[in-house]
Parts: sequence; structure tokens; C-alpha cells
Amino acid sequence: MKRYLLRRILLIIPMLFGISLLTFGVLHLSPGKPTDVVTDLNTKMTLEAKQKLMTLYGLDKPWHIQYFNWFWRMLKLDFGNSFKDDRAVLSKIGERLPATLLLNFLSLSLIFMLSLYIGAMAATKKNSFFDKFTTLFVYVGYAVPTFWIALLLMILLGLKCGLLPISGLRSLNYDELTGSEKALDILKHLILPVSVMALTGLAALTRYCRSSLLEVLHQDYIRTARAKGLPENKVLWKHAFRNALIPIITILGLMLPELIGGSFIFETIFAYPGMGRLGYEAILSRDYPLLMGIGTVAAFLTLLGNLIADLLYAFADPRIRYR
Amino acid sequence: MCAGCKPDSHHSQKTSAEPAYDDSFIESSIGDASYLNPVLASDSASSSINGLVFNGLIKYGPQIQLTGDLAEKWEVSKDGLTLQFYLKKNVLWHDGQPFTAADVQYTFERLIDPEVKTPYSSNYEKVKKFEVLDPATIRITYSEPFVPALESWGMGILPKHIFQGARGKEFNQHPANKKPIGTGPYIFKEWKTDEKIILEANPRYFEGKPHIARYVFRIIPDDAVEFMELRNKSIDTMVLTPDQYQAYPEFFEGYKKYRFPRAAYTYIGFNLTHPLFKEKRIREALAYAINKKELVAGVLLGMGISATGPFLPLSWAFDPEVKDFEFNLNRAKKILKEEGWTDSNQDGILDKEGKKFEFTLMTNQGNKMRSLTAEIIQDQLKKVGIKINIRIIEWSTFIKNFIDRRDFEAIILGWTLSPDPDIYTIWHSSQIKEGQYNFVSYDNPRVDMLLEAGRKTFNQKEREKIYKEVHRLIHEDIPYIFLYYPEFLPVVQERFVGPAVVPLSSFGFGWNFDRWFVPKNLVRYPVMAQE
Repeated sequence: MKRYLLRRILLIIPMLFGISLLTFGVLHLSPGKPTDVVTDLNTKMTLEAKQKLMTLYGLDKPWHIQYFNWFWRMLKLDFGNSFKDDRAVLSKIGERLPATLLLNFLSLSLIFMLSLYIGAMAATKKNSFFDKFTTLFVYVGYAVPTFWIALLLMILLGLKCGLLPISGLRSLNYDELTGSEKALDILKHLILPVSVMALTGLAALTRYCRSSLLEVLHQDYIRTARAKGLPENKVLWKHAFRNALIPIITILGLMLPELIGGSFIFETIFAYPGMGRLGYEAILSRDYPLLMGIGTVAAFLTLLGNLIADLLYAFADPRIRYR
Repeated sequence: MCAGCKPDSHHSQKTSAEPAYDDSFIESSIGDASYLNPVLASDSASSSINGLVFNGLIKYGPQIQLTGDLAEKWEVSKDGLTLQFYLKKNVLWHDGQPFTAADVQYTFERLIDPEVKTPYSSNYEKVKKFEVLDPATIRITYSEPFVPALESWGMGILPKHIFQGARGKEFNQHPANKKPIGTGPYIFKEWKTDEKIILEANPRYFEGKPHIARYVFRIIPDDAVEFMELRNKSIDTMVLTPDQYQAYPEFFEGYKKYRFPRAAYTYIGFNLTHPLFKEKRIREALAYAINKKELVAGVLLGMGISATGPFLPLSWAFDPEVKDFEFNLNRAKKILKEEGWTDSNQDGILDKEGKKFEFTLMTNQGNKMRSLTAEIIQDQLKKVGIKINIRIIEWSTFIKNFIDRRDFEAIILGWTLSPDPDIYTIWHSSQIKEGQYNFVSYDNPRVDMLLEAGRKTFNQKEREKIYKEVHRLIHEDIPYIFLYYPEFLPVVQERFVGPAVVPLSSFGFGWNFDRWFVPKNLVRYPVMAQE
């Protein structure tokens, strides 16, 4: 087990290298440069001034040299400064991460609880009204465009009923509130994004859970369990459910990067200061250092997520052993 | 001219209550600011904040005329080579330190510092000597007379003592770029990245303490959500799109709507070296065949005015005598016929010597108004027998591969206008090299001469004459067909007294924001009570 773990961790290093090289290559293949926003069709800048700006951003060097410089600094955990505002990439990410973690942790927990429950109920009462209704419901949630449902809920709950704030993470008078009022304020701002995110993300996990449980329920050992007279509750939650969890764990592992990645559409609609918007805006302005920083952190977490999922298999299924 | 400039709703603004030194003004923006440092920033979000925190030596007045800001007055020498600024005394930085000529010198040195990431260095290239004569007097010597240089001293002046002489990289990354200290009407209070920026009224502002106590700049990245926040009355102002402007009246309860030309125009540019467009008569025929009214109605839902030249209608450089080409299909057809273009094979497309009248009209991706314009023009020119193929290209490819290399037949693009009418870089025949802006290859010796003179003539009356002639000549030569000026459509919550539409508004509606106020009985977010 220890040797396995060590090997897996060491494997992350070449993978990270490959991923970052690819990311960097793709960035530089896409048309446009970071300085374009300022220089394109700017009649007040001479050609020399434009060239000067390119040199200051280090964009005059060939791309492999730029990559090497970046990689060398990255090894020392220096991700450089954002081109947009000259602030350290890591501190920009660090500023956004808590907000995204909060939102995604809440909505993913909600998704997990709801989908495990709905999935299990639907599997045990296959083809019942509940099964059909929830199937329709989760698919509708999956199919409606996020922004559309978000805007409708904003109109209903924010504009018409005045119950919830429309967008943002905090009210403007946040700093003048007391501790408990602050928590309530943030909670109020989170209700809409969390529920919309849960609604639109429910489908996959619910269906996985249902089909995986259905498969397990047809196994011989379940029949044995029932035959020896165990109560249905125990059969379902102790014998079947645990085995049905294995594929779910894979998804859980894959969701880890999602947890920090954030969603651009969500954060834009709810004016939520998270990672998704940071990344998207960095792409638009070709902010190479910031993009590489986000890319590397996301890649690292994906690899880590895979590793954790693999380890959890062994935990959930005693038949799996790593050597 | 100004028929459309008045507020749409005619609520009576007359209230007996006196102006309050209180309340907040909540504005919103799609993007966050970058540097709260006018030397480094070039995005509009940063400029909104920097404009309230910093002052330049001079600024534009309501009629787009330069007036003093930090400078009491200035003198231009007879040969136009030296500028002498006399600074206002008793101006204080937000931290209480006095403002002096040394601050101006420090700001200037950063603008020309080769290691500073400023996009404005070109404006100061012609400065030969910068001298501080005494703490309140500055003399700047130029290598040649250059009128637009005056405007460049509207650049926000930075506090030398805060930056402690930082230069180059140190300056680019200085913490003061996030916590600015200026001389302006508003003091920086707080910046929560991608959420909001808060400013507070400067009680020691040299033009008098502003009435509105707090300025809040909220980041709302989605236009539809911003509109909803407006409806919810949680923001006090917004710039509308033409379709939003025409939303149900209930959306604008409690708001006043404004409309006036924006400092920008959209045009079709022709590659004048292309055989099809070399002949002026052909371009003239196209100008008669394009119905600008239909364009304004279709693309801007009527929220715009048709354009006749490269200047803003409210600017002093604009010549109102210039008559636009009237929309006249028969005249267009007649000219084309005289030039030998006939539909000899009856396929609906004109031809001459076996060649069809067909060309590609390019524009950039992501601008719905431009692609819509292209489609309407395609349809309009079909009526005189001209076939247009539309090509929509991703922005940087469009600029790098087609515009910069002059590899196009006709394009739809737009220019944003600055308050100073100097348009040398766009129209002078020396500016046709790759990457320069006379990409249509316009060459008129008389215009060249006028543009050169316009850069050297400090006398306002003469300058006005020069640019009015430029306007007329460019209109007559038809290197572009000037299509329309889109309108600027801001709404402001009606408790605010002071918003006014003047020529300068085209460059920013908040030009006199430090003079706005809310009558005492209408204060909505009392700030003073809490303190």
C-alpha cells in the first residue's frame, strides 16, 4: 500500500508537467495577445510604444522560452503576477477560493443527499409513480438552461416577492452588521445559487445511484439476505447500498476539481466572486500567468481527486487491494 | 440638434428641500477595475474610479473646452513650443500632504519610464524638457508644436510621497495601485475584488465638498441581471441597450432616462487600392444606395443618428453644413450605369467587361450590431445589383491578418472619438504602413496639410476652421461611408439633482458628478446618521 501510494504520488509530477505544457501550448496557439486589449486600434499609441509593452510582459520571446521561464518559477512555487493588475496569481486565487468552496460545498452536499435519497427510493420502488415523477423532475432540471431558470427565480423571489437578494454574495451594508446578521445575510444570498445549482446538477448522480442500486438488488447475496429473513430496511441500507456506492465514489473523486473550479455561468449570473469568473475573465484577456496558475491548481486537484477515489475503493470494497 | 437630449420623463425636479451632504450613489459595472492608478489603467472600470479620486492639471469643460483643474492657468509660448502651468495652491492630498510641482514631475517621469507598463507613453514622446520652476510652476518644452499634447496633461497626477520614488517594476506593483490616494472629490475607502469599490466624499476637496457622501461601484457581470437590479431599485444608474430602453414603463419607475450621441461612430471602410473602389464615383453610388435611416431603425431601434463625418455632432470640430448623401436608388443606379456597370446577363447582378460587381464585406465576431449592419447593407445594395458576401472573423485574426495587412475589400468597424479632434493617425497619408490606422489608404494632400496644421495651431478659432474643412473634404472623398452614431442611453434614479446633457456628456455622463445632490427630504441611504 505504501509503495503504491508513493508511486502514484510520484506519477503526478510528469503528468503535471505534460498538462501544463499542453495548456501553455494551446494558450499560445489561440489568436490574440494579452496586450491586444490595450493596443488594438489604439490611435494614441505608436508602434514603438506597443512594442515596448510587449517586451515588458515578456511576450517578445519565443513561446518555449516563455514556457521554460514559467516552469522554472513554478518549481519554486512562484506563479508570477497577473497581467491584468500585477497582483500575485496565488493571492488572486486564494481570494476567490473560499467563496467558490462555500458555494460548491453546499450545493454538492445538497446534490449528494438528495440524489442518494431519490436514487435509492426510485430503485426500490422501480416504475412506481415516485420513480417516474423524480426521473422527469431531475431530467427537467438537467435540461433547462441554468441562466434561464436562475433569471426566472430571481424575478419571482427577488423582484416580485422581495424575499431574497437578486445577486452578489453580501449586502452593501454588510460591514455594519453584527456577526449573526452577517451570517444570515450571506445565507440569504446563497439560497438561490445553491438551489439552482442543485436542481441543475441532480440528474446524473440520481440516475447513477438508481441504476447502480438496481443492479446490486438483483445480486444473489441480496436474495440470500432476504431469504434469511432480514428486514427490508437492513437489506437495502446495509447490504445493497454499500455495494452500490462504489461507482458513486468515482464520481465523487471526479467532482473534487469541480469543487474548486467554479462555474462561469453561475458566478456571472449571480455576480458571485468565485473561481469560474476569474478563469473566464483571464481567458478573455489572455492573462497567461493567471490561466497557467488556475490550470495547474485544477490539474493537481483532479489528479489528487483520482487518487483519493482509488483509495476509497479499497475502503468501500474489501476485495480491492493495492500493491 | 439637441432635440433628443432632454430627459424623457418630465417629472418636476423642483423640491423646496435644500441639498443634503448625504446619501449614496450606487453604480454598477460589468467588469472590475484593474489598477487604481491612472498611469497604468486603461479599462473603463478603473477610469470611472480614477476620475473621481485623481485630478489632472487640466480637464474638459461642458463645451469640450480645456479648463484648469489642478492648474490655475497655463500659457502657451508664441512658437507653440513651451507650455507653462501655474498650479493651484493649497491643494491637499487625501492624506493631508500638500500637492506640489514635484508630484507632477514624478507622474511625468513614470509616464516616460521605459519599465512602466503604461499605454500612454506615446503622448509624452515629444517632450524635450520638463522643468519645475518653483513648487507651483512647471515649464514643459516640446521638440515641435503639438496641440493634442495639451490634452495629455489631463492625466491624473500621482502623489510622489506615497510612491516614495518607486520606479519601473516597483511602481507597477506598488500597493498604492490598489489603495489610491489622490486629490479628487472622492476618497478611496474599500475595494472587495469583483464585488464592489467604495469611495467617500472628500471634505477638503478644493472645489468644495461633494454633496453625495458615498459612491458605490458594484460589479454585476451580467447585463440582464443588472437590468433586474435596476428594476429592483438596488442600483441608481445604468447604461441601457436600445432594446432595454424600450422596455415597459414600469421598469423605469423612479428613474429618468436620457439619450444623446455617444462619442463613437460606425462606418464602412473601403480599401481604396482595390480596383473596384478606386473610382470615387463608385463609392458615391454606394453612398446613395445605403439607407442610413433604415440602418438606425433596424440596428439601433432608432436610438442613433446617421453620421456624415469623423467628428461628433456636439463637438466644435463638426461642420453642420456638411450635407449627407440622400438615399436615392435611382441616382445610385444612374451613376453605376455611367461608369459602365450594367446587368448584361439579366442575373440581377451588375457586370462590366465580364466581371460581376461583387465584394466581401468583413467585420469582427461578437458585435451583433455590426453583423446586423452588414446584413442590412447586403440587402440594400442588392437592390442596385451589387452582390455582397459577408465574412465575420474573430477579432484578433481580423485585426492581425486582414486590417493590419490591408487584405480586405470593405469592412465595417467603428471608431471611438476623443474630445480632441486630432485624427492625424487615421487619415494622414503617412500612416499607411502595416499596423498603422490609415488602413483604407486614404491620400488627399489638402487633408494632409490641414491635419498637420491642426496639430500646430493653438488658436481655437483657426483650429475650428481647419477641422470643419477636414470634415467636409473627407465627407466628399468618401473613403468611408459614415453610417451612424449610436446613442448613449443612461438612466439615473430621479432623486439625484444635477445630471445634465452637454457636449461633454458624450464622453461620460458623470462629468459633473461632484456637483450632483439629493434634496434632504429624498435621501435614501443616509450615511451621515450612522457616523
